[in-house]
Amino acid sequence: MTGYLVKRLAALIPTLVLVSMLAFGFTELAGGDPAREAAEQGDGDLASDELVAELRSRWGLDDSLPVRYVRWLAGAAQGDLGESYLSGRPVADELLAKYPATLLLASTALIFASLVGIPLGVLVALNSDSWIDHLGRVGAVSIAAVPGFWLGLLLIVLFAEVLGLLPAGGFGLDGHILLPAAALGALPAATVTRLTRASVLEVQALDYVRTAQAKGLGPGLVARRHILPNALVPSITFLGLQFGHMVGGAIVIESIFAWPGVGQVVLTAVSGRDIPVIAGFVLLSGLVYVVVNLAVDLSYLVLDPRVRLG
Amino acid sequence: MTSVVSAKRFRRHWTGFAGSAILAAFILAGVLAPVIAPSDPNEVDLTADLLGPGAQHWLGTDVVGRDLLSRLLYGARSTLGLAIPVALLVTAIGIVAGLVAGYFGGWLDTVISAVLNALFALPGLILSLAILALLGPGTFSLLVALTASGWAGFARVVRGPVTVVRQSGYVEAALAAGASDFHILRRHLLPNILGPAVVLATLDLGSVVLSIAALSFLGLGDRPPAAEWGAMLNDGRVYFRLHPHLMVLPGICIFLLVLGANLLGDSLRDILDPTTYRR
Repeated sequence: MTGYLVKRLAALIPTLVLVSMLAFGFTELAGGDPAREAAEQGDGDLASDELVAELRSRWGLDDSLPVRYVRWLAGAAQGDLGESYLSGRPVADELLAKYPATLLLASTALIFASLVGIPLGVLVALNSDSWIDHLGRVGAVSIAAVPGFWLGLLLIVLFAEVLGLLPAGGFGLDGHILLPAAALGALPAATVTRLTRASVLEVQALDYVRTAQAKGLGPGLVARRHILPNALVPSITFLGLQFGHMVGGAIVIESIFAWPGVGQVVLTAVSGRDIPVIAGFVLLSGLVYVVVNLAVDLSYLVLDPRVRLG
Repeated sequence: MTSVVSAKRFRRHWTGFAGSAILAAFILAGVLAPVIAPSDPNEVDLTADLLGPGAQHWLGTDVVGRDLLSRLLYGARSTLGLAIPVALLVTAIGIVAGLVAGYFGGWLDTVISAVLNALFALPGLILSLAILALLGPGTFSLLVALTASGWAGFARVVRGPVTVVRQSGYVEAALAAGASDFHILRRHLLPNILGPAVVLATLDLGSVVLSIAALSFLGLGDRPPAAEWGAMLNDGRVYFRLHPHLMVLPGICIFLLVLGANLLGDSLRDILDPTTYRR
């Protein structure tokens, strides 16, 4: 069991290293000479070459690429992601102040997706090839083609403007989170439905399920204890892998619902070429991916006795 | 019995036919936009703003009096004009990377697989946004951003079957007969992955269209006044209460185009991969 975890962790480290190289690469590719820009900011004149050279050596800009990468990484590991070009504030502060709201929205969207998708998937699997099944399939195909931001706008129109049931935007764990979470969670809900349907149908036909039935267990118990845990594995893998996509999608959804997450920071940085913020966001996204993946691996320990005992 | 089978077969292919019909209609609309569009998509007419559907402007006009139908047609042109090249580039790069990694193995495979895993950790939209921050908005930036964030998924799918076929008897035989690596890749491995690649490229087209729509909705696409569905949708949301068609019609166009690509892709998968027939 510890061996399994160590192996999973070891597999994720190269990913994190490469993502950090990519993030560092962005800061390098941004171009410009920070030393010259800083030196010329004080007075309007051209800075003397000596001053620029002094700043370059003080900031270590003359060191070789690997040296600069290692120093950048060491800083990042201590939470130092540099300063935003636009606001002058530390990038880590800017991102971390807003990130929790985005994580909250992304997790709620995934909870929505499981609460809708898993029961729906079981329902269509138990009624396979009936009209419920066909309706479910048409629904899943359609939802996969709807742009999330358009769905969000339509939800606002329906639930906020026409019915007046829910707020059109803003932050809050009450009604405020329902519409953005539904807009963000609709696509994964459709996928979870499809995955759950397929895996329930597959697991249903396995020998150990027949054994459970043959020893006289009731259908409810067989479904709960024997079919469902196994049938959930593909959906959980998907939901875990999907988490990062939820954060990406949240950037768009947040802008529609005025959700105070990291989206506004990122979009401002994109249009203002604020590369340190972008690099920090890339690194943070990679880190979240690794953490969520470990969590998914841990969930296998609970769900799958073969992993737990082997 | 036979009628049940043929009914099933019809249903399966019916979605494929519908998908190709939708896709063909949009491609035709995009190609013929300059010919069939009733007016210049960027022609401003402030005396005819925010008209509803009518005889002069079939689908009405937007806030500065531009003909909505013309803008939607040109939107198909700009969307597909970007989405098809991106899908082709993603396919080409993905096939080459997947073939090389799967066939040669060793350190090449280790490096390519590590890069694929790293890119997998960064959702497409996040990587696209980062590249757009570097390059600035615009069509070419979108092409680079969407290709860079799309090829890894493709390469991953290609690599798997290649590693399997690599071990098969006929590849060993070709090697023993002295065939060059290039010959084996082209004649023995490529045909094996062409089927899945066509399916994947079609499905990819749908997701690229969605990404283009989202990014141009955020104002990162071609500069205004270019007719882009995502940007049109964003412009139209302000006037939703009185002029819902400004927001609804571009959305329907995006939806239909993506639906068409997905239906065709799913149907091709059923046809080309018999193991998924059952479900």
